[in-house]
Amino acid sequence: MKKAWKQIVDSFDIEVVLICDSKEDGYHLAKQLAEEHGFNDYDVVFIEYLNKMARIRLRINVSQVGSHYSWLSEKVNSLDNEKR
Amino acid sequence: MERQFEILLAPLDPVHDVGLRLISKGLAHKGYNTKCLPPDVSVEEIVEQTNLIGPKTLLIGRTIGYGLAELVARLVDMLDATGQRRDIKLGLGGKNITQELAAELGFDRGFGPGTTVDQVVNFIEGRNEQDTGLEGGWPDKKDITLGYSYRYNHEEIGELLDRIAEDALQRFEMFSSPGLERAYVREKIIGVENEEGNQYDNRLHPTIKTLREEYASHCNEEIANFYLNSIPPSNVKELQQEEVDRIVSFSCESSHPAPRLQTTNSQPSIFIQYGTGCPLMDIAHIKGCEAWGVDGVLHFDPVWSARSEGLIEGYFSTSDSGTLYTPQNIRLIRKCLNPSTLWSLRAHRGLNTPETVVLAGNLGADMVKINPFYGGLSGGTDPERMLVDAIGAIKLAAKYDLVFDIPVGHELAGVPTKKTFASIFIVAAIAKKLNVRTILTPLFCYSPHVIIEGQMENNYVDYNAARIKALKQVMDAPIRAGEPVGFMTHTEERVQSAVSTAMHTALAMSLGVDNIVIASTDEAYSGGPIALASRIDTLKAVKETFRFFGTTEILPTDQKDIWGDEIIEGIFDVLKLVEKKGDIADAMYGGLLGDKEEGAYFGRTGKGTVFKKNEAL
Repeated sequence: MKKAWKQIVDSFDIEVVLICDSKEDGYHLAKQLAEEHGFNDYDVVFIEYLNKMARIRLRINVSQVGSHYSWLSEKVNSLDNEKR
Repeated sequence: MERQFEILLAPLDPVHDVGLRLISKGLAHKGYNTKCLPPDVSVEEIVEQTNLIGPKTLLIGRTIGYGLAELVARLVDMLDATGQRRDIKLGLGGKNITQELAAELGFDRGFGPGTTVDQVVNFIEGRNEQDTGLEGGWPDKKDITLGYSYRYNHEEIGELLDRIAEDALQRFEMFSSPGLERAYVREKIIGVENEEGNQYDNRLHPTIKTLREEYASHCNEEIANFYLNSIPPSNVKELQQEEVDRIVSFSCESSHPAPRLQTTNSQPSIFIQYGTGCPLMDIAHIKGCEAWGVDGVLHFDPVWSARSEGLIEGYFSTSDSGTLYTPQNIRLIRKCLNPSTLWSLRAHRGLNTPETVVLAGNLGADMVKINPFYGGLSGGTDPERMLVDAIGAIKLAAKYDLVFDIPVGHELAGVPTKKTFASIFIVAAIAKKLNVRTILTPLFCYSPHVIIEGQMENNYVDYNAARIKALKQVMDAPIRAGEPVGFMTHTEERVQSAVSTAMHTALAMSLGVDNIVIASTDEAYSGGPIALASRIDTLKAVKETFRFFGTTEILPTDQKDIWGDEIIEGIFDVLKLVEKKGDIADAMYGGLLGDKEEGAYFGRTGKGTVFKKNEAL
């Protein structure tokens, strides 16, 4: 069975509004959110703070360019299985 | 007797039937016999109708809600009990209906919001769910240059350009460069490969071995080392053959004609730029963009490669932004493109310009990009070298019947429009003399010169419209708006970014532009590579723009004409000075087409490498 994580082409984004005290606080919380979920390779693509709230786009990088792409090998494995 | 209906549509809903009626109308338009029952019919009435008319397909519309499962289960049971179920294809559509839910409820196919008539036709005809059912298979590639005469609409400017182009062709005829020499060797290598088959191991072929040594003699040390000692540059990584085979297999599976972005034939074609550094990731991005309707893709190579004398061979990725031109990388990407996808290679700003044209011409690209003034004034390449290579490259484009576009990236450095447009027209005039078709590629965005002069303080419409007006009044040639449209207006915020691209697209379309290069919603994000999802963001935005505006027009203010006329006068003045200077290389060195005050800096890469053809290297 395919693992969804391995089918991600490059990255996925979490778009969220966090209650916080400042833009810096929101930025810190966004990073914390990523780490709490076990993501090590992430970046805050966008943050906008207004009135105790931060609208955030947090990117979790899965496949680095030039690395081994799991979606490519998963695809072939499933084709091989079908052939068998 | 009741007429034989192929398809029965029944809104199993007390009120709503609009979705089903639209599908019914669409199916009837495609020649199917359909019967659509009114809302608020009971399960029993539907079964009675199916029994009466014997449809091949029954489509049920139902807004999901309390009691749905029981209701449709009863319908399926009754069809079973009356012996009809096995002879009827059963589809269920409505808000929140998914394929999984429909299957659970005993239906053959589920249709959610946004279902198209083509998707329903696929179901009726038993075709693959992914098959869009587009009639006639792959659409033809659009010829962006079709219908253009390349006549000068401004007589005096035309006469000036004619003389400048004639002089440039005569002046540079006697010169060559390592870049041109490599291009000619590459042509020979490809010629032998074509005779022997395109095997990478052809490097063991005695003729190719000799040619590779000759090629290496025109390269810098790092690239020569690759050919002579098999040592690749430090910042590249060779791909495994297995990975290459897998991406080809993936691309074959994911190649299907996609619904177009455009809603009318007059709307411009849409290109995206790619160049992640890895051809495998590029292909994944291209296949995604093709699926979401892109018409063409534009290859960006890395800066260091453009500044190296020579290209390497093989399947390679690089850690830099931009994907390496190698014959194998190019062949691989070509192999994976949809047959209808237009493909352009950037060849305008570095030491490998002529060879890139050779690769494009031999390996299936539709167009390239060439502008020596951009390359020499803000691309880092020595102006004289750039001119020699570019004129040689245009001659190669003529040989391969390749279209090329002429970008004005130096306007992004701060060079004013009148100078960048004068340079566009000089290149177009040279191409015209060699019977090569060109596409004029103005900036269609915010730019430093505009910021300083304040032409976009009130709106983004008038000055962009003035740019297009000026181009059209000088020459009857196709125009590509770029590059990408809305550059420098985008932020990291994806909605703003997508809307800005969409608005610029709408304006460019309204002004009669033929082709548009769009960014992803990651355009302003510098923290990492562009995500495929961000590319799809803007394709969706552009599709909605085409749907919204159709063939309507945006009306600029009178300021457009004032600025448009100023640009034309400026082009005329610049060209008069260029002609007076006598040599376009001197004109470039003299700042007539952009100077340091305006952000143009003469490139130094390749300086002193130009030589007379009859002199030894």
